[in-house]
Amino acid sequence: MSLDAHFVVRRPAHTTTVDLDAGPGEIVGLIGPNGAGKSTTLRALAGLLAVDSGEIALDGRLLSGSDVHVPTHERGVGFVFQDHLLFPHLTALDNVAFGGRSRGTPRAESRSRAAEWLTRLGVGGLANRKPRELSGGQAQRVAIARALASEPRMLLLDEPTASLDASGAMTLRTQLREHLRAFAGVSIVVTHTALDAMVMTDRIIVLDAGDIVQIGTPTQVAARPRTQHVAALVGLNLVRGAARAGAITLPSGMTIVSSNGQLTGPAFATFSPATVSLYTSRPQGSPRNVWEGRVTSVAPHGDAVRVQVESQARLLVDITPAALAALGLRSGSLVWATVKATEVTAYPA
Amino acid sequence: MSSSAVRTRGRAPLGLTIPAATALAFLVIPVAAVLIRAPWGTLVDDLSAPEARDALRLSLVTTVTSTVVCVAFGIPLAWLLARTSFRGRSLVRAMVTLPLVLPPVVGGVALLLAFGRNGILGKPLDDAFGISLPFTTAAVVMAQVFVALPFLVISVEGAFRASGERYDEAAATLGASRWSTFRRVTLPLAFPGVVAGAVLCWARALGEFGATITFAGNFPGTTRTMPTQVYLALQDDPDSAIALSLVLIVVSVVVLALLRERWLSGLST
Amino acid sequence: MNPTHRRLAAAVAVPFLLAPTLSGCASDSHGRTKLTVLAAASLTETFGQLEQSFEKDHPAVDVVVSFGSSSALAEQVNQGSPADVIATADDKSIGLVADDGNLSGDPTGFAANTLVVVTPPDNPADISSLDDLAAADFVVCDPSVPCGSAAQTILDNAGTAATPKSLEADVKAVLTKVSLGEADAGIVYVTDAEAAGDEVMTVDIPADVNAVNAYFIAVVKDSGHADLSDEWVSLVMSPAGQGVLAEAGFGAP
Repeated sequence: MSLDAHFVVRRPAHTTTVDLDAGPGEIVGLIGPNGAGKSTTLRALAGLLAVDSGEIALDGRLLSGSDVHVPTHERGVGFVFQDHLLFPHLTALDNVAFGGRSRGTPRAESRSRAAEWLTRLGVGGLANRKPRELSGGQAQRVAIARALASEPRMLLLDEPTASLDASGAMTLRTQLREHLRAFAGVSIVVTHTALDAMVMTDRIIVLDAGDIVQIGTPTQVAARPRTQHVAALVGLNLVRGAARAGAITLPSGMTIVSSNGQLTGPAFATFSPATVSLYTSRPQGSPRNVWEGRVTSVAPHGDAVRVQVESQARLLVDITPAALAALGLRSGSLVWATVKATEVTAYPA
Repeated sequence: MSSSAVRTRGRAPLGLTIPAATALAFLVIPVAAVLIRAPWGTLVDDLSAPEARDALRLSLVTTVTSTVVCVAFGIPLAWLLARTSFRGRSLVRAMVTLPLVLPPVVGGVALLLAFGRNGILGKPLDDAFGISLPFTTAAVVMAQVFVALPFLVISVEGAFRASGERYDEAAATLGASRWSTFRRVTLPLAFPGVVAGAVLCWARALGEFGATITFAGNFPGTTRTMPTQVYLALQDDPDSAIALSLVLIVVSVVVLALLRERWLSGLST
Repeated sequence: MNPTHRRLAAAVAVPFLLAPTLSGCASDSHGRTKLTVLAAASLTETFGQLEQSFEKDHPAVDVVVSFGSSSALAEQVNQGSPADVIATADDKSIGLVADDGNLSGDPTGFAANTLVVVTPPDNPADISSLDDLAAADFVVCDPSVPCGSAAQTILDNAGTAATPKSLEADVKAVLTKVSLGEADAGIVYVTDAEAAGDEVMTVDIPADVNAVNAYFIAVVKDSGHADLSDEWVSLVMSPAGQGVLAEAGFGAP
């Protein structure tokens, strides 16, 4: 049950170009800023949008193409929507049984299979409740059960943990990972949450303004992001410039020295906010990366404090609350930021 | 206004309450007049007279039939308007709302010219099958359907639009064809709108007079519905006319009161 | 008075200031005196002619004739609708007005009308006598209007079992259905048949079974123009007026 998708969809806002091959059982994550084309991609795969050129083939069967558009209900593509879209007039059980009934399975059998799926997703006791009587997390589980119960060939999930709180999301994420692993077809998960991408996916595709800008395993993408969006997602500082003998010069003139002395040509450089130190006067000492800038925002970030500094680039810096108090920093304060070259990772752009 | 509302938002402004009260009085006073002047003493006799009974029975039979016809044909039309796009859709919508603004007698004339014995469809029908529609009870139903159908279509189209296409899409991803989606998702979700539309359709059919008398005519038991009976009785048997008017008013008020607010609100979307 | 109240008072006062104009009493906007005549529908053509000649003789007067079924007109007068003269197609309707005390004198008989059978010009059902009606689709007026009760009398007189397919609200409606070809035949006044000209064909009803409707005219009690109203009645009764009526097919009163 493999996917071969190479298509272009033209929308008023932008044109989305997708090249994607996935094998049976593979879980692909789709990330990118809003408007990048993620929903467009999912809707085109599901048949809710027609492609302007190219093809989508599932298991060798052509679903979308220049002369062909198999309607959604004949594609066998399951969809878990962001706002679950459970049918308000049906109980959880009948919602999950809907797919079976659509295929002509007799009611009793559909319902017993539906009950099994609800149990597998941990919401077996909610079978007779209506969607409005379910919490966000419960509704999402029912929606997942509903999609899986329709025995799809491919599963599309649109931000499955978005409407849950941190702990609810964590629980669902781990369980979802198991179910997706057990699913024999291709799964594609759109997410804005780094954890979703890291925990659940085998491979990540990064979309920006309609184009694929990076593909890699979660680890690869997280270690070497190529877009601000992903860098922000994984909590790294990212800059881009021209490298020469280990020093990367940014368009703004700022230079950054990395641990990679051999690098030349266009390059990215990343460093974690926790490796940046702040001073209220120009520091002496070994760091070769010293930049002057102004504090633009100070906010709590877990146990630390995240400070945004506007220098020749925007920097994210994590310091302890004690350090904040000692430095007396607030919005507008003048600071010097340093980071050791050994903490900076540089790689070709 | 509740006292808490007065405390927090102030009294309702006179500039609004006075016109509102005037409007309400204007609607209530004529109805109250019928109640006050009704021949309560002879009411039962008036209503059990054969003409009155005939008119009541005929109105009941025709309006229920008309409502069923409107529902059966109006829901698909509403679906077409809400869920598909085609050239001339706004023209179709204008045609659907036309009977709402057309004087009913004009509607009757139009029906006559179309389905009368010499009508563009009526003549072939008569020549080929010997079917002549004017002066029949079927014609009464046709006249009622013509004026009442817009109420149902507009109400149901509104309900279809309100739930939007999202649930339809979800159903499609679960393997339901368009027909199956309509049957199991779209229509059940629009049910309050269907009920509201059907009730308004029935109420409009009940009060239909101009198109009925022009197209179907007036004959006791066959085409003389309650409104026609009231119109004619007013001249030589006012008591009977008032008694029947009372029945029409009471039935309408009861039905509309039962039509719960949540169903009526489906009309405005 | 604060501004809001002043505005409110103005808003309330305006309808009252307009009322005299709206109630249509006395004069129209051209300064002419308005004479309101209510007349049975079958008098449409004749009274229309008389209206022209009356206005020619009385340039300061605007005659407004309102046509309808006699019973409806009687009801209007009894409910207080402003009118100066009423002319009905039977004695029953004018009797209703007299009984309520709304006439300023006794009604005067001014014409008589008999009935006739009309068919579409091509007479598709081949009607040549009252007996032929039994097999045809024909329409008459509802018994609650004079034309209708007269038609019923005729059918009873003729001893025929024919039943109409529809009882129309007034004579004009019967004529319309017949001329449109929706009905094979109808029973209307002779005057209506004359007025319809080529749109219908007529079949005479034998005098021994025919019904005669006596037409009556009277001045309404609360008329603001007693003199003018009397002049109108005189016109109707004059040789000129009677000539117009005779030409249209009416019989003598």
